[in-house]
Amino acid sequence: MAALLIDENPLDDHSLSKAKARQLLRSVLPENAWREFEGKGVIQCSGKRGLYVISPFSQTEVRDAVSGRPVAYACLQLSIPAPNYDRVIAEYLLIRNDEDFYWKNANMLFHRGGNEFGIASLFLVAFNLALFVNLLLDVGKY
Amino acid sequence: MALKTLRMMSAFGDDKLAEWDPETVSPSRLAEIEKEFNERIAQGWFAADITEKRDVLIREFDPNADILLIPRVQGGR
Repeated sequence: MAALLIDENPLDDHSLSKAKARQLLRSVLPENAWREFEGKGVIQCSGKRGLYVISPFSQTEVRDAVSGRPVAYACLQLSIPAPNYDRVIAEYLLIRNDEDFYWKNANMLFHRGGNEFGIASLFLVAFNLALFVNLLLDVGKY
Repeated sequence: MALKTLRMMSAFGDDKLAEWDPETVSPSRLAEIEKEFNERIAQGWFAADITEKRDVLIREFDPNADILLIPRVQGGR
């Protein structure tokens, strides 16, 4: 701790809080999960509803356990101000121990694939096709 | 046996509320720590046994566990 408080470059309260919370996260996570967190900045945690990708800096991504595609984004916050790493710890422990509670309390935003055609898109394509055919027929008359 | 701790998340990362040696702690001190634990649980906090990365949620005080208290959670934006 003394090394963190050298006169030339004292860490402010915010940085110290972050460092403490990060250390707490390390003490909670299994060694392989911690290594992954250090490398990728996220924790992957599997549950019965999918694979969770927890990040200190963004919403938690819920992926399909088989395809790996995102199915939802979860947003959960602590009821007290605390470093982001504390929220990561809370999410990790809740998903591991009480996934249903997690789903009941987090705000879930369900992912809609970008390559899906809605019925409106389909009608629009059919309408454009009809116009194009009509144009070709008109041109053919002259 | 190693010292055990009761910690709670806070704006400072976490605060150590108590530390004790399960073999030598007095019953009265242990009762104080348990009271603190129970008060937080009654307020809606969660408790996790994080001894050696056990990482299980608990509802009752365990004098042989390192315990982390986690505040209530709510949906965010």
